[in-house]
Amino acid sequence: MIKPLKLALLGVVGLLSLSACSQGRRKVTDKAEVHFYKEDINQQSFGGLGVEWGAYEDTDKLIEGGWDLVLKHMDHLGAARIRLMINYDWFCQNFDDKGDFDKTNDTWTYNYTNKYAKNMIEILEYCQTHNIDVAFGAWNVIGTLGNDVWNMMDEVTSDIRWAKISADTLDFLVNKKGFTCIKWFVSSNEPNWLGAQGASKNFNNTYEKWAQGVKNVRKAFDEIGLQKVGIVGGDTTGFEGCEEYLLNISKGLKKEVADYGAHLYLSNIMVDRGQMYDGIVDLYSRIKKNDKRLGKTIQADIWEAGLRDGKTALDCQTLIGTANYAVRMTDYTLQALAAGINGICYWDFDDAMHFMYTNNSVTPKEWGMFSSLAEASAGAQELRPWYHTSSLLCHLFKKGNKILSPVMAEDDENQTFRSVATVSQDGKQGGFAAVNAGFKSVTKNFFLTEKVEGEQTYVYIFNENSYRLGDDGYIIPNYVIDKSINNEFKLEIPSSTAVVFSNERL
Amino acid sequence: MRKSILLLAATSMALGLLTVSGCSNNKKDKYTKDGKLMVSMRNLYFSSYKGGDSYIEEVENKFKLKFSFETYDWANWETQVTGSINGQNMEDVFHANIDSYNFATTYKFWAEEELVKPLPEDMSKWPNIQTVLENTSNIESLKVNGRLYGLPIAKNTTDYSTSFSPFTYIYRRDWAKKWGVYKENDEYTWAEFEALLEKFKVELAPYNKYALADVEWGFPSIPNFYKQVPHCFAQDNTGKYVCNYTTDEYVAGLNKSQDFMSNGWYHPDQNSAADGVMNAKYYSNQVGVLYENLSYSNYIALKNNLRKTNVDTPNFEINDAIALMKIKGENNKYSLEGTDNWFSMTFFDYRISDNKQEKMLDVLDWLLSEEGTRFSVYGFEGYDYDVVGGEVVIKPEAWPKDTNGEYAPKDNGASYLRNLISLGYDTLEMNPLTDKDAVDYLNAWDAEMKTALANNELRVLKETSEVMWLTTQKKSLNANNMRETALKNVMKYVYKNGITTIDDFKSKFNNKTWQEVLDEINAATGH
Repeated sequence: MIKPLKLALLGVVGLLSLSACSQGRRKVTDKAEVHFYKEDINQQSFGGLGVEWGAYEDTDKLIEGGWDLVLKHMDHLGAARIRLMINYDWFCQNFDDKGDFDKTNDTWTYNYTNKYAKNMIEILEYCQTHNIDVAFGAWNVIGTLGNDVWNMMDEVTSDIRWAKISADTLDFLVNKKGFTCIKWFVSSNEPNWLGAQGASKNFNNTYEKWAQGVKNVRKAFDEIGLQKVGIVGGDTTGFEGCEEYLLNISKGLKKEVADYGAHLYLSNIMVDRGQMYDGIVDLYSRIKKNDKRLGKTIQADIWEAGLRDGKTALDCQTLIGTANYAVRMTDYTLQALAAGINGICYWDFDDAMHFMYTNNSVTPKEWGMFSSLAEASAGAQELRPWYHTSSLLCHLFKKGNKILSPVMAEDDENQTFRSVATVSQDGKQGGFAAVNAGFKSVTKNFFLTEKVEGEQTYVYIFNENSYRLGDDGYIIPNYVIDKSINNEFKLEIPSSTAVVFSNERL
Repeated sequence: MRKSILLLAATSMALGLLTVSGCSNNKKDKYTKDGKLMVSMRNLYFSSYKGGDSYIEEVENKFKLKFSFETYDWANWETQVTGSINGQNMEDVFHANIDSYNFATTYKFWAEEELVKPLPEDMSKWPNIQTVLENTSNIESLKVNGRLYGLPIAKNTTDYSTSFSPFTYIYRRDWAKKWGVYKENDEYTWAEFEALLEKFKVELAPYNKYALADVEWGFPSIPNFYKQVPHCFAQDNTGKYVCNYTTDEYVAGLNKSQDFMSNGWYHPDQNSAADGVMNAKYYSNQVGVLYENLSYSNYIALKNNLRKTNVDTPNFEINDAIALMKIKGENNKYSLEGTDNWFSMTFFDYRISDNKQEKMLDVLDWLLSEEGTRFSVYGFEGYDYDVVGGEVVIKPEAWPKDTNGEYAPKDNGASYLRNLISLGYDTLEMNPLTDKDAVDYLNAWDAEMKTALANNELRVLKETSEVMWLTTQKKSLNANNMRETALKNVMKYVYKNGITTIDDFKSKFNNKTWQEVLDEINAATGH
């Protein structure tokens, strides 16, 4: 399916013009100019973009041929990293508490042959062969809300068995199965989100319990030679939760934690007004005061990224199928990168992965880039707009690249305009992306002075009227220009529009 | 004077003997580095709210406060509140479900023991809150030693006239039309109601579907058309208080419920269903008539679920699948449960400073004002909306629509905060997210029932105020348990499970507890 090119051309052709590359000008007074100077390196080695690709809770629900479709879409997405979460309940069985309260003598066995394990291993095999980094973790302690059968909800991850199960599982996956793609371990999901007793397994958690769990896991990993698997801390949600956990980590858990990880689901206004960037910069600088390694040998990453406006009580995102969601997530990405975030995993890849379980129904969490569910409507099975922008960004902002911040004039117009550039270390690949989040069109002249190879520039213009899909259903450029990306590019960018310029087809 | 507390199984948790020291030091006001006073809050309606949005930040900046949010689990709400009070670890501002049956063991007990902070005696500084209080039904009953110890949460600050609950029936009008049992304007006599159920049963049985279901807490709904009052305390013709469950009227309703069961009209899983199951049966097209609390939010949830379930049903007309049924009982009258114009209360920990309480009252008063209400509904002028010709015009960029053309849910923390003083029915009309057709439809039903009430065509079931809020010792200790036990016996009788005769059923109420409580009530009320 090809989106209406005619509309795109009417909106843009004639406004896109070329001229010789301007040489470096450090002071910019023209509000239209966007300069990326090679000195303005924001990040020396970017970690890469990716997606939550958790183990599927019920692969029986996929459409026929669904898994092939999932892999095909993952091929095209170009993810550099994924976050893969599982439940220990799926694998732990034959639990015996010996009839006493002593947790040290409890025994259990593992079953890595069921459909959950099969799916988890399929994902890891894919990542291993495709050089995709994996943050692997378990959602929460064993047990259900109605039956705390292991008696883990009081101590949560500080329960000594948590570290034991984690080490056994990683020993199986990394040491025995050889999944060295697992770079990080997530010691439970969003420990700061307590929920309410009766509705959340996490209601009893505290930073202290979580930190003790991390210490236990680190020790257990080290004892079985898993020093290379770092621990994400704290995988917490929201700015406030991250503030509590990440600042505490930066003071007292630096030895055990290998990554400052956050989940950020932000309201539209925070993205549109650039408050997201301000929030990250503020938190980042406060962490860095305690941990000078930040940005060098330890990074800050967003492990769940999404927008909260549109979220329903059944944990679906009603805006997920709109072009505006795609544009805002692009804006989100650019602000995060500009603020120093080293990698992002979008929440999430496929509607079929996760479900909401209530008393009377099981409903898919519709947050994906498509749905491989048999029960999904034909429309939901199509790739959603934000798959395409995510794919562009994953391919443009490659793992290992340099990230460059723009120099722009101080002007009201630029309060709602964001842009970030990237260049590979060898200069063979690069480009830039921009978003106009304002209510009016803006005209911009882009200058990328860091040398990038190639004599063609691929231009993608993304809003609800302009993006183009090829016959295979994946995004194609609006324009291919026979000029190096180091030329000046002038473009009128409509409101709520993302643009990507690249020296290679993405 | 606060004192050590001896709880004599006073709470619904049946804690037994528990000593709570109510003498803890006052909580010292704590401030963030940028000078904001920190306020912890816990509220049922924060269940889907995590804080941290631009709107709540605006309120925080405006009032120099920093909020933290926690929530309760609906099913364990009461337990969690009483647990935190008994453990003396309640948040600065918290939320409890107060009704006439738990009034003595919760509100009154907390007030007398000063476990909750009274409102300032002079509320004139907060005129919008004062208006709410002045219009709160039974407000005098909530005063202990002349003081109010919490804020009743108004259902609708633009219309305080609510006197009955929307606990009633919706049905598949489309099926009724298809099978020839539809009645004009959805009005049904009792005989027509029974005929419809029989027809539904016949048509649905081959598909293993059923005619009728009640929301689990409302089963059996049929006695509503017979009984005098919703729960324990009815009156005989001399005005003396008697056990409601053994009155001829209640027994007639009970026997009718049993008939409905044996006729095969009720869904057979009704007895064992967990909360929400019957609702799900309805929206998954398994049941033709459902008794529910049809508040706006419940109605919309059902409507949305029905729409989703039937997304592939050709010519599906949603409004014909969720029509309100207007049924007159055998006495040719509608029947609805009475209610107050408020639901649940916001409380303040007794240990917080006057300053903190007053600042929170400032916030809530502002949120009730025109400016605050507008902010909690629309957000920021210039970003979320413009004012054109004195009218609010929302900006499409800030109010995105989903792929079905519907406005997407929007997280505005100020609206959650406003729930501390208003349930939000007063903002439904102005909220872009509201399903206006649904509001109009429910309002039309409400108006029709009010007309029926004025014309003596509607019975509103409500215990008298004098008995509802009476806090004599034995009633206070036993009323909640008496009600819960009575409902268990009702279920046993309707299902012929352990109680098979009406005499056997009545005997369950012929005991010392009931007698003593009724004697105490009659003595206290002069009967």
